[in-house]
Amino acid sequence: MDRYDSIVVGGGVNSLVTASILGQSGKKVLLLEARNQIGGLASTTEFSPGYKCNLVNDVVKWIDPRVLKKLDIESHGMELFSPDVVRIALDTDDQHILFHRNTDQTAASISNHSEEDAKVWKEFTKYIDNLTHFLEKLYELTPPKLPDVGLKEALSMRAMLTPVRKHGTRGLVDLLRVVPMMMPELMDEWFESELLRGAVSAAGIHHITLGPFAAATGYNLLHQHIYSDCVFHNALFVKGGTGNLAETLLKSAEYAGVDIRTRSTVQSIDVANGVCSGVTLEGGETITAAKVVSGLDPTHTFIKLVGPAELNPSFFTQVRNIKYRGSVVRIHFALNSLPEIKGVSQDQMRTVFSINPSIEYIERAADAAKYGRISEDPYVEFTIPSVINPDFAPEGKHVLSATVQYAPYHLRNQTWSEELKVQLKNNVVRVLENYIHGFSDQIKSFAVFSPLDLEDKFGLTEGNLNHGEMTLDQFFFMRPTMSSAQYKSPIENLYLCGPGTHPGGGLHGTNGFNAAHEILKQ
Amino acid sequence: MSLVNKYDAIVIGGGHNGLTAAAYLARAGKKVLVLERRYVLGGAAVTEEVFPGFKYSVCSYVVSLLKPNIIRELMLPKFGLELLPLESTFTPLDNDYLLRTADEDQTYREISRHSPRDAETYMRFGPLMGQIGMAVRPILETIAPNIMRPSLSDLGAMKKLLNHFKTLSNEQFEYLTKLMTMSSADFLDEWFEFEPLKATMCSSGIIGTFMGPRSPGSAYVMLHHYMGDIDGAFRSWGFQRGGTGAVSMAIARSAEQFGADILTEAAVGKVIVKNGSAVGVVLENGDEYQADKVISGLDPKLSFLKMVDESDLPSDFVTDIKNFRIRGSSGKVNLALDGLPNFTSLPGDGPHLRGAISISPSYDYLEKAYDDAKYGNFSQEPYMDIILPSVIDPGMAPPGKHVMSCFVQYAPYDIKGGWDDQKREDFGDTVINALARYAPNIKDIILHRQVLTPADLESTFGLTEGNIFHGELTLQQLFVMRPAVKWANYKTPITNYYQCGSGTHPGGGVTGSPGEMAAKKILKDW
Repeated sequence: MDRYDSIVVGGGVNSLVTASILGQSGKKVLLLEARNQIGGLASTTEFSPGYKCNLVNDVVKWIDPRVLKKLDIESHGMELFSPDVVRIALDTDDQHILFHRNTDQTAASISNHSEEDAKVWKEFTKYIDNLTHFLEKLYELTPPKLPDVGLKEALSMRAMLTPVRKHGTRGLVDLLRVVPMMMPELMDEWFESELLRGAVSAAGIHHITLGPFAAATGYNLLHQHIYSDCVFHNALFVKGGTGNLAETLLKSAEYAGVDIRTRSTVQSIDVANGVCSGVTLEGGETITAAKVVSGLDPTHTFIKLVGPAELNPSFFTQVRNIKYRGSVVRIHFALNSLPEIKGVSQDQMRTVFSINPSIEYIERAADAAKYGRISEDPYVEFTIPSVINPDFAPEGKHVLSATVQYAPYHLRNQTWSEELKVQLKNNVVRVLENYIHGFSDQIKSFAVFSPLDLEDKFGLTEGNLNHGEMTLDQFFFMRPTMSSAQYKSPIENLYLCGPGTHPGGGLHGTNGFNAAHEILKQ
Repeated sequence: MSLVNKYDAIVIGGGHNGLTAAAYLARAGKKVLVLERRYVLGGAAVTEEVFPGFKYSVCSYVVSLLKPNIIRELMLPKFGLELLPLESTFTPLDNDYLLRTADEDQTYREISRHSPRDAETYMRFGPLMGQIGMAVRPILETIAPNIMRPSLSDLGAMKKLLNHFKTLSNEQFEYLTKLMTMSSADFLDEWFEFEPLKATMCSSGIIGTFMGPRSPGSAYVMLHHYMGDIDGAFRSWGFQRGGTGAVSMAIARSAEQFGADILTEAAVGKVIVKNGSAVGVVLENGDEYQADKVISGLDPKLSFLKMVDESDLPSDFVTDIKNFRIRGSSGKVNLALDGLPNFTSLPGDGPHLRGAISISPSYDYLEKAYDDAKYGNFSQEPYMDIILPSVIDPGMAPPGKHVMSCFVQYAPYDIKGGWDDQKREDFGDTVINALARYAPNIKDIILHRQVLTPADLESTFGLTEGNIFHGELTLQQLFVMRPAVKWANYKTPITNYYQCGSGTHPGGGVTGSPGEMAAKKILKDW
């Protein structure tokens, strides 16, 4: 067996990005994926005979433009598609709020609920957009190692201040204000309509365990709107399914000369005396490499694959204290027909729907998770991917994929049994029936992916889609720990490139890009 | 014709921060006038005999954060400051209790009784928090720089702080970061396992805030409460002989001795602003006083939205002040008792009555109390921080009788349907019932009950929305942002108009710090 320059563990978006960039630089790279297909959370798969779904993400919020350019994504055949209406916040009285790409049209839709809110909508999107420009710069940086900041680090951080020229110091101040905010605080400054407040707040709780009343949901809201260019709730559909993003990245990696092996589960990352030498696969095959890069989450990487014995005690404690607590469930429904939603045209079905009548509604859903229960009335976000990709379902049939919050990994006095999954599915169906008349009669079959399933199938610790909570204590120089926030672990030759690193979760590839940059520097 | 007097400085509000500022200015030789709306000084740090023979520390009930240098420089012991240590923290449970006392060995044994592991950890935790507290102190003692347009001295202060952070160990820095951002429950979970211990420790992270123990940001409030310092002993809380009002009175006497004039029942109506500069105040009764400087000890909402006209302020500043969060979340129940409460889990008199009694049996208990408030109701089973001042200082009540101070959360200012007399009584009943669960005799020994809702705290003490800290202690309202960016250095957009209340850096508590730092800034600018 050849000795590789680098082994990348995991075949998700970030792993593929890192592998490609390393390959492009002439390194001999091997990528190992445990499942039979690459893509990780960007996978498209058949969940019921004849019915396909995007396993976790129906839409991409944003992709790092550096990744698009460096990996030449477009020439590898990926097509992104952004509908005119990117999201519809459903209303029981059919006065849905339609989030258009065009802010004026969104404002017109909002005016059905509040003239005042409609008036400030454009200003709000501009306000959020300004703040994201600062984060965009921050996201390109490798976090400094604090508290020992030298002149070099200080200078590299200076890039973050460049948006000041365009957006003024006030922009930076507003960023400092909004990042630690909770949703009701931000909403009180802007809007009065309950539905709009709920719909906007939904961006703050995207894929996290906390409710909208949690501090720093402001940060998560901004995180969802990086490079969104004033389009609130920006949503990019990948033609052919989200799996095509991974397929494209795979082509790019192969083009860069990366060796790809699927069905290759890494059993251990081999470390001796604080130096990493390679990996051992299930079945006993050992592969050596100068560097190992893990796209898995930090706990999976360090506790499970490296093992506590090779970690120094303080680092072990830091890793053990990383908060995961996944509480997002995906439910895919195979449907006999296209659901009908009053007030939504056929054309507008190619969008993301959300059920968030008020901030309080979402918060009550989150309360359940706090006490280790599933939400009675969950926050539900859904798409009908078969409208965009007809091959997702047999002719005339459809797929509805729901992202459901909150259903915690850590349950109290119960476990993730089949009954509980059915109970959660029933809760979701009951909520959906308020908006889709006769929905339960349309269901042919369904598949529920609980946080436990996500852990089992994708190796996501506690089923957390972000490889660690998106909270301020796990942000920037603290992500995943203060001692390993530079994509480099305390173990010699072992690196991290997954969403557990700065700047966190999503299908943007920034983590992978930054990680490759750091690895090549060494 | 109203009487016109000319002063060097006028301080609006005779709360402890206003008085502190006045004392420092007078000490520097300035002619100072303090104007207090009520008949009594102290603001929220006040003692009143609401029921004959019984003295209530009506609002603020313990002292720990008062800065030692203020005590020294204003010679407060000479004017009556006498802090009596609180000896214990007692958490009654349904069939058991947790009692932590000043005696380390005893506390170790008591915690071991519940969790040997926690007992070990507890001994390490205190010193670490002490170190973090010390690490934060330089921030608390720095006048918040203007980050929008830093002056030379601002840059100097920032550089000094940066250098200070570099001296911290990795561990200290990490915990500091975590304390600034995490929930108190998460933070404590990393250390302890015994739930009542964790719940009681985290309760200081929710006091005065509209957050639950699992809300990110509550760890900072916990740290804020850890910065207590009596005679150099860290995290020790004290009770002022004669009630918290005696602290204010000591500061007032000190100010007067330095030559300050203090007027009570003198409600300021407006600050007189001429050509963008404050030149005096006019009272509600029409009296006018002129001064070179006017300093407001009120909260930012009152200081800028009531005391001056919006038209005298830049619009972005007005927006910032309007957006400043000041939701009140707590109430206060003061009781006059015919005897001592008898706790089922630890009957009779004892050291557990000579300190804080905390109704905080579990995270869930606190979290559910918060849930009620989130949706606009007062907690059905509230969190309470209770002390029995008369046990520590017999002068607070007639012989054999007692006073009991119950700080209660949560009671939202914006309660559904608004606060009225009926709701106030219901709230009082709920508090007594929650207490009776642990001390059933309480109902039989109540001679008098005073219930203060956030609405009462607002109308009586001028605390907007009943917020005891003059503004929530959230990350976006601290340091350079408190109460608004550019104006966190005690100055305001109006020349010669300053602020010195808890709505400025470093925030709430009976610290005297905002008052002291404001005075020092004013003297520097003079």
